[in-house]
Amino acid sequence: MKSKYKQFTAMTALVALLGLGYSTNAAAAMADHSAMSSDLRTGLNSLFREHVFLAAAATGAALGGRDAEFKAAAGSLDGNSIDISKAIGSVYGAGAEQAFLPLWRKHIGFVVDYTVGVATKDDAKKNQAVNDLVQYTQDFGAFLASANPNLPKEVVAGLVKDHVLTLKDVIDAQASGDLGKSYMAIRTAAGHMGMIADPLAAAITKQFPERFARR
Amino acid sequence: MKRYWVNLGILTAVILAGSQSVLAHEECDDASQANAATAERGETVVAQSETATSVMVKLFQYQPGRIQVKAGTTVTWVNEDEIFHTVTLEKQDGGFDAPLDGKGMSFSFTFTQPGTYSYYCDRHEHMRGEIEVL
Repeated sequence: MKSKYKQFTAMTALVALLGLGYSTNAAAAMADHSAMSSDLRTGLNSLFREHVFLAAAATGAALGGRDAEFKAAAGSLDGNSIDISKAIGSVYGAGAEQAFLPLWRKHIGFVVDYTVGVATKDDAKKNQAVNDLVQYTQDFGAFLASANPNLPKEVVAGLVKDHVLTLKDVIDAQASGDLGKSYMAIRTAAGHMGMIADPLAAAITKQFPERFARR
Repeated sequence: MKRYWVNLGILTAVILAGSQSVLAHEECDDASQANAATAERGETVVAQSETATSVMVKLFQYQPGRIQVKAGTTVTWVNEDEIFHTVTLEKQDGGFDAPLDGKGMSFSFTFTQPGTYSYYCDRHEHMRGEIEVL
């Protein structure tokens, strides 16, 4: 058990370090207004996948009672949130960046609530968190629809709902203690983020062709 | 079990410590912005016309975030987001809680008394705006 824990800790640290690296490169690429559409797509995919890996690291550590690891993962997860909001701001301006960050952090709060519900076997808390997350998908969809006419609110809301459900599967798998199932769920959740990042990149490219011209 | 609460409390604290109230900026590259004035947070205030003025509710911001009007001016908020926002002013400041239930919905209020009025969205607590009535 100890060696498995050490392996998991090492893997989590590696993921976090990789995530930090990706985060820095992705945010920098997106801050450059001459970035090509492929860089935009790559950058968004990196940031959103990092979000999943770090969220999973945080929820896994919390459910496992690993305090130091949890603090590290939570800190990096918030760093990723800031990078994502900067990416939004690099396209839509400082006001949009400052409006996006608390909105994005809000859904992480609901994920925390769900994790607490799972940890304490509180079905009412779990159900409330799921309801809050479903409502959140409407907020997120409305935000992006307001920013970009190529992103219909309900389409975005549907994609974010899938993200929420895949993350829920990760937390449930982690709580069950089945490591194989947990990592499969993490891969699924991370892979799904391309279904948000790709259309978002395409919509932004379409909205601002002069800024994101294809190579 | 207690450790779960401590860990998740820490995560919540990280989120809340980093959160800030937002007073809207108008520095948006979106060409559809109706109001061309730029308001830096806490540094400049947008002066509006004498009898009527409007605030656009877009991208989860009140735009402009701070305005300055003369007493007797009617301010109209127009929701450009496809989501339920509110314009909520605390009771001690005159008090209203106006729903803007979807895109295109609007609310108007005439400010008759000088003072500074801070309002917010009851559903999205980081959406904040301010009106200085002269």
